Amino acid sequence: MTLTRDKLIERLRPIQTGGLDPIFVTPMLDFEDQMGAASIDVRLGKQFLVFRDHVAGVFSPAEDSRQMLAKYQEEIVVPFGHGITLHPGKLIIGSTLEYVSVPGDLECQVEGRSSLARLGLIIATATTVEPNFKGVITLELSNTGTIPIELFPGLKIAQLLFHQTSGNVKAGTLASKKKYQYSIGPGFSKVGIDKHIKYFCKKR
Amino acid sequence: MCGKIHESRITNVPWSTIPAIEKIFQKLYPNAQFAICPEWKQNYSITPLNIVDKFKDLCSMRGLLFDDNIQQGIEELFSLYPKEIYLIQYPKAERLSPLHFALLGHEIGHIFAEKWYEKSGAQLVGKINDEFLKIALAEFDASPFARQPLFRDNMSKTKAKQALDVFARVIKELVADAYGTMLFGKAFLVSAYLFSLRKQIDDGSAWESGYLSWRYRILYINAALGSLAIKKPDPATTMSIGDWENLVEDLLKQKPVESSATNPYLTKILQTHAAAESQINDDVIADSKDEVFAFYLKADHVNTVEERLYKGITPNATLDNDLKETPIEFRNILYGTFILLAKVLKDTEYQNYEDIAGNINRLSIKGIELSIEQENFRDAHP
Repeated sequence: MTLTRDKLIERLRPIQTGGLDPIFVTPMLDFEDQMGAASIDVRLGKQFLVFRDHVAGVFSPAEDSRQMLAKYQEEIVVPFGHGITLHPGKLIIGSTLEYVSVPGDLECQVEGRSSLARLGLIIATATTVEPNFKGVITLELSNTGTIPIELFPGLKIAQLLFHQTSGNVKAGTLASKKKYQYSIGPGFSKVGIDKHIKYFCKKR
Repeated sequence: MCGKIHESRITNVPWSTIPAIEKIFQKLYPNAQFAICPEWKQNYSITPLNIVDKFKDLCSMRGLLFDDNIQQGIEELFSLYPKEIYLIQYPKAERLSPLHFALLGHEIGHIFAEKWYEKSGAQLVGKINDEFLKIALAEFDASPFARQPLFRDNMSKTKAKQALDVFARVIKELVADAYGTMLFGKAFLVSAYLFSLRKQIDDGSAWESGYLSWRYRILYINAALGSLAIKKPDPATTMSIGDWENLVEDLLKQKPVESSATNPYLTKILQTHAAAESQINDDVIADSKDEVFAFYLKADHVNTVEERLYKGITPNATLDNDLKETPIEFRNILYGTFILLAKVLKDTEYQNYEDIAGNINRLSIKGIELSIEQENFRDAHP
């Protein structure tokens, strides 16, 4: 069941009744503009990870993630008012400007905006955000079109839809070591720390 | 220096928090800008002298000029840049720690300290120079050299001159501390305390380089806080910083090594500084252009910061039940962060503390970044 505008506004209020946690989407620079009929628009953040194609070889999920960071990616920051060009066939990792907290009884879905999809922009491939997630949402931005697209931080890039779950997931603590919890910027893949990864990726 | 700037890549600098520092910096020094660059050492520092002047001097060296037009070209070139640029260095390891904010207050204070010493310090110099000379002469007369009166004047004057240099270094450090206190209040005190834990708190051996023991400096910062509170009466100046109060109080119970120092030069330096303390505080406040921390602290905002961080939410704004967000000024974010960290430190086993403190620091840093963006957006869309 998707939460409609009225329900979303109710759940965004900081004081909730019935022991429920509120949804946090912050900052909402223009609340009215960002609220849809059953969704919340979110903006593109300033931080990006770009790939160092010219120095990287083949990526292996079994590699140490700390080594991968320096080898495959470069962190860049684009201030408001400046753009970053996404060329056809290229992928960059960005994130939402907004920090999002999903309550334990809801699940969040990240959807692209039709206006940008018509230019060939895909904003995320992993679109489901689990209950109790807290952090900025990483966006895998790719241009599937044929013309370069200039992206500007602050641009409304995606929309969040919230769905009611059938149960309530218990909240974690600040000591949580979940892979992408409390993320404050786009994060590089941590597939290397998956359980059993070494077993499956070791050549026999 | 070019090498240092080369190291200032995004991955090495606290980029998300720099706009907040810039905002303060530009109010204090409208004609100046700063470049920030990482250091591998656990040290914060600044080139308190304007590096634009240094470059101008270098470019104007006679040997480099082979055409009069070049001089004009240099002038035109420099007109494109800010009049003043300062180079701030900070430990790269602190990139994701709000600690660096308050300590940068001390470094910003060095720019003021330099100017203050040139202007107001000159009044102290003449007086203290005579005192140093008296001490040096007495020392000479009591030494084996006393049988060589030929050297009496020269050696004493040299010694007095060296002592004067030490005096300048010590007093500039203390003025910079007063400035950091004025900008960040008790957050500066806590930062200094945390920084001192990584050093020997009672090590006063580097006083000749200008560095008194950390205990002395923390006591001084605490006293300056009281003085600033009197001059800018506001409940915010006395706002509790929770469990830090006890830790600092414990630290204040012991006297610093300098109080029992037998070196007559050091004693004289400290006496002179103590006599000038009130004037220093007045001058620091006068230079603040309303950036005194007390104007920005709000108890309810500090509480919100603490609550949001505890829940794992970025503390960038308050949110009322009508869903209106109000950006939180970043000094409140620092206060809230430190207060929560102290609670966590008290209640958590050390292993967990590292994880939790890491998350709190990161959320706090993100909160500072977002609050500035919100303020800027609000100012552009009144």
